[in-house]
Amino acid sequence: MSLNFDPSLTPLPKSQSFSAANAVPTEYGKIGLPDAKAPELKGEGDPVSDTLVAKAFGLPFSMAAQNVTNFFISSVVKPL
Amino acid sequence: MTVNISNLDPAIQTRIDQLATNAAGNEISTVLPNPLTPTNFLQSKVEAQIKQQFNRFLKRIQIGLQELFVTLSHLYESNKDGAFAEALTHFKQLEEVPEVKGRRTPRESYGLSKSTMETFNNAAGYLYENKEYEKAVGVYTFLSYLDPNEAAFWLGLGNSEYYCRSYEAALVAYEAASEVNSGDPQHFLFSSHCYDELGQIEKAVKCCDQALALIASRPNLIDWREKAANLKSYYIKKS
Repeated sequence: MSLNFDPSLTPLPKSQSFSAANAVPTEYGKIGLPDAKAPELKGEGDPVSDTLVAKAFGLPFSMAAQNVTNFFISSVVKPL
Repeated sequence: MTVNISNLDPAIQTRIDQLATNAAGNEISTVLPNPLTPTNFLQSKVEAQIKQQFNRFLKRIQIGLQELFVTLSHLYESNKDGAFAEALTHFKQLEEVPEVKGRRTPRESYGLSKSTMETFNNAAGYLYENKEYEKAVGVYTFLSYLDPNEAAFWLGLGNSEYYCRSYEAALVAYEAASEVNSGDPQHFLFSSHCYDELGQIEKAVKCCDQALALIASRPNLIDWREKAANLKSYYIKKS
C-alpha cells in the first residue's frame, strides 16, 4: 500500500520553522545603508547652525575660526 | 600655540597662532600659567584641548585640499573635461584670504560659483565611488566647511565616515545633513545603521520612528514607508 507521501508536507525541523525571528529576511538589514553612489548637489537648503558646524568639525568654536582657516587654506593652496 | 602642520612657512605659522588665539577668544599661553593656581591650571588645560581640536581640524582641511587638487588634476588628465581645468583655475581663488563679512559662508567669501562647487563635488564623488573613503572624508570636510548649507557635502561626509567605521562622526554629519535638508528620511535610516554598529539598537529603532513620522507627514515620501517599517522590524527582532 502506498502512503502517497508528499515531502512538502513534512514538518520542518523546529529550528527552521516559521517564526517571528525569521519572518524578516536579513536583507532588510541592508535597507538604508549609505549608497555606493556619491550624493549629488541639492542646492542650498536651510542654514545649518553654527554650533552644529562646530560639533561636526570637532571645534569648540565655529565661524569665529573662519579667518584662521581661510588664512591656513591660502598657505596650503599656494604651494600646490 | 603650535599648529603641527608640516611644510608651513614659520611666518605663516606665527600668523596662524595669532589668529587662532584671537578666534578662540582667549590669550593662549604656551607656558604654565603664572600664578599657577588650580583654576588657572584647568583653564590652560582647556586651552590646550582647543588647540589640539583646532590642529586636528586644520590637518583634515589640509588633506582635503591636497586630495581635491590631486583628484581634479587626475580627472582632467584622464577625461580632458574642461570643467576640471576650470575648477583648478578657480582653486587659485583659495590663494587669497577673503575678508570675512557677517554670516556669509566661506564659499561666498571666496566668490566660488555653484558650478565650481559642483565640479569639486564630482571630484569628491570620484574618490567616494572608488572607495577611497579616507580621502573622501578630507575632501567632504573641506567642502562642508566651504558651504555648510549644502546637504550633499554633509551626506557625502557622513557616508565616507560610515565606511571608515567612524560612526560617531558619521552621526554628526547626518545630523547636519538633516538640518539642511529636513525633508529627506534617508538621514534617519543612515543614522540608524550607525547606532546599530555602535550596538545602540534602541536609538536605531528611534531613528526609524523619526523617519516614519517624517514619511507620514509628507505624501511624496510614501515609497519610503515600507522600507523604513521593514528596517524598524529588523532592528526590533535583532534586539
